[in-house]
Amino acid sequence: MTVFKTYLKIFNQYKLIVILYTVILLVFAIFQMKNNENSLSFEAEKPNIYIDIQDENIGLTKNLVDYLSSSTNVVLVDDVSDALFFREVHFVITIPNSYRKDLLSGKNPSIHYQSTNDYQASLVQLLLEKYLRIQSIFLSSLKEESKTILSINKVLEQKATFTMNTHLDTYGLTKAKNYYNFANYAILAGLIYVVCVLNSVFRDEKILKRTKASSKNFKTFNIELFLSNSIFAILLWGLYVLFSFFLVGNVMFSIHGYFYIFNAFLFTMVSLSIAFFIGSFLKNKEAINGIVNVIALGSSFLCGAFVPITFLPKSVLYVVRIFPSYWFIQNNELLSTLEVIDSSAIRTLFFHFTILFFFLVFFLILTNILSKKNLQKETI
Amino acid sequence: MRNIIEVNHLTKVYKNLRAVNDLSFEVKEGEILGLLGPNGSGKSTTINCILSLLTFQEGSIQVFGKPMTPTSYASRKKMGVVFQDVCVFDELTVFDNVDYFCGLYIQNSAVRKEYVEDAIALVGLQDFKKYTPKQLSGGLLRRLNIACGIAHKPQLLFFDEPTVAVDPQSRNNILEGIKILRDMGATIVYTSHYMEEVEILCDRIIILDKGKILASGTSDELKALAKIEEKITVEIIDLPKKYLDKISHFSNVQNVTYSNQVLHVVYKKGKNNLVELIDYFKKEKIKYNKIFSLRPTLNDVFLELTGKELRDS
Repeated sequence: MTVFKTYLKIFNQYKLIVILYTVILLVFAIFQMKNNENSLSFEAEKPNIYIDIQDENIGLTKNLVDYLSSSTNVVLVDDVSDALFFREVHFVITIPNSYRKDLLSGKNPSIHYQSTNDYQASLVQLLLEKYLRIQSIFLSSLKEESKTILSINKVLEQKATFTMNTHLDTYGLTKAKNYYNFANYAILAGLIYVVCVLNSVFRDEKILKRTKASSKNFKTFNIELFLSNSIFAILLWGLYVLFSFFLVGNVMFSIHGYFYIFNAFLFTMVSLSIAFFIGSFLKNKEAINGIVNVIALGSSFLCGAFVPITFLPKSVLYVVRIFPSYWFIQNNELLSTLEVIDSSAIRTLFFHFTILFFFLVFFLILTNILSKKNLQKETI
Repeated sequence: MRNIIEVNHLTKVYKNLRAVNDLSFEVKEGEILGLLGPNGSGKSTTINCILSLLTFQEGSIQVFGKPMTPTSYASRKKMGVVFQDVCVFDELTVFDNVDYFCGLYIQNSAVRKEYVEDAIALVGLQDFKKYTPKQLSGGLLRRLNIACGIAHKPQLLFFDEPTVAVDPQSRNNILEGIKILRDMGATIVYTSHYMEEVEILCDRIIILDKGKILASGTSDELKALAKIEEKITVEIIDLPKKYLDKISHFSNVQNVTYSNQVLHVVYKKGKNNLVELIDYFKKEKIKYNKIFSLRPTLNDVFLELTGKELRDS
C-alpha cells in the first residue's frame, strides 16, 4: 500500500498535466468522429449538361430534351470549351438540324457530344445511350411519332422496387468504429505518457537505489507499481467508454457496443503492459514525448486508426500484425460490419482477443525479466 | 559482543581499477566503525558491496550471521542506509518522504507514523514537515536524507559521508543525531574523509587507501602509529638560521621547519617539550606572537603510512 499511496500523492502533483493530456486526446477523438460522420451520409447530385438544340424543339427532339432535363441540370454556357475545362458542365450534347425529320424518315442521325470524361459525364452518357437504344427499338416497329414517344416514356418510367431486409445500424456502428479506432491512439498515447512520467519518479536512479537497499521485495514493489498504474488505466478506459455512450448513442447499449467496450478494455490492459515495460527502463523524462509519437502515433497510422484500413497497402497490413493495435482495430472493423454476432463472428472476435491477451502476457513477462535484470544491475 | 558484519577478503574490480583489494574486517554489535580515507579509496564501494548493490569478484560478506544477497530481505529489514547523495522525492513533502521510505520496512501505519515523527524530531525538521525538498536548504536536505534512512529504527546503520557540503550547524546536528542513535544501541558504519568527525564519533577506525586497509584500531592506537608525540607551532617574525639549527638538535625533536614566519617543531617523544622551547626563546630573547602544541592527528597517521596528506589525496 505504501507504493500505491505514494503513487496517488505523486499523481496528484501531476494531475493538471494528466487531465490536460486526457482531455486533449478525448477532444481529438470527438473531432475525428465528427469528421468521419460526413463520409457516412450521401446526397444525390445531378450532373450539369449543356444541350445545343440545332433542330426544332418538338416531337422526338423535345422528348429527348425533356428526358435529359429530368435527370440532369441543363445549364446555359457562353463558351462550350471553357465550360468543359472549368467543369461548369460535364457533358455537351449537340442535336443536329433535321434530327427529328431524319429519325422519322428512317435514317439514323447521330448526336454529337463532348464530355469531361469523369464519372458524372459517364452517367449522362449512360442515360443518353439508354434513351437512344429504346427510341431506336420503338421507331423501327411503330413508325408513328406520337406512339413512339408514348412507348419510350412508358419504358423509361418503369422503376425497380426493392426492400431492405437488413436492420444493421450502419451509421451508428461506423460512428462507434471510428470512435474506438481513435481510442487506439488516445489510450496508448495517454497510458505511455502518464505511466512513463509517474514511473520515472519511482525509478529515478537515487530513489531506486534506496528502494533496492530496503527490505521491500523488488518483485512486490513492481507489482504494486503496476497495480497503481492499472487504476489510472481503468479510469482512462472508463472515461473513454462513458463518452462513447453520449457520442455514439444506441449502438453502445447493444451487444455490438458491449464487444466494443470489452475490446477497448483488453487493449487498455495491453497498452498498460506496454507502457509499464517502457517505463521500466526509461529514465529520461524528456524522451517520453518522442516515445509516445513513435509508438502510439506510428502504430495508429500503420494499423488504420486514422485512415480506413482499405486504403492501406496489403504489405503494410501484413507487417503490422506484430502490433496489438492491428488486432484491436480488426475487431472494431469486424464489429461495424456484423448484423448478427453469430458463432462464426464470435470465434473471430475471440481469436483476436486471445492474440491481444498474449500480447499482454508477453509484455508482462518481458517487464519481469527486465526488472530482475534491474535488481541485479549494479547501482553505484 | 557478536559480529554484526563480517567481511572476508573482499575484492571489487571495475574494469581495470581494483576499487577494493582483499579487504577483511568485522563490525561488532553496538560499535561505530569509521571508514576513513580519501576520495576513491573504496569506502562507498565497500558499503555498496555489503548492501548487495554491487557485485564483487572475490570474498564473502555476512550480515547478522547470514550471507548477504540482493534478496536478503530479512537482514535488510534490520539495516538502514544514508547515502552520500540526497535520495528523496522532489514531489513529496518532508513527512511524506520519510513516511514512504519508512513504509518500505514498516507496514503498520500507526507504528510507522510514530517512527516517522521520531525520525523527523531526531534530525530537527519538525518545523519543515510540510515543506517539499525544493524548499529546503542544502543542510536541511541532508537532514531529511538521514531521516529517510533511519526512520525504521534499524539495528545496523550505514552513513556514507553524510556531512559532505553541509554547513557547520547542520553538521553538528547530524553528528549529535548519530550519537543519539549510538546511545540507542545501533551499530553504525560511518564513512568520511573528515578525520575530525571520525575521531569524535567512532569507536574503531579503519584507514583505507586505494582499496586496501592501511591501519585499523581505536583513535589512540592509530595515533601511536604516527610515531610522533606532539607538534609545536610558533609564529615568529624573524628567526635566524642559527637558532633553527640549535632547535633541531634538541633531544626528542624529529623535524623542524620555518616558513612564512611560522615555525613547526615535531617531537618524537617527551613530556615537557613546550616548556623547554619557551625557556629557550626567553634565554635567547626571541620574540614570538603565538605558540601552541598539538597532539598527532589521523592525518599524521595517514602521512606516516602513505607519505601524503589525507586532505591532499
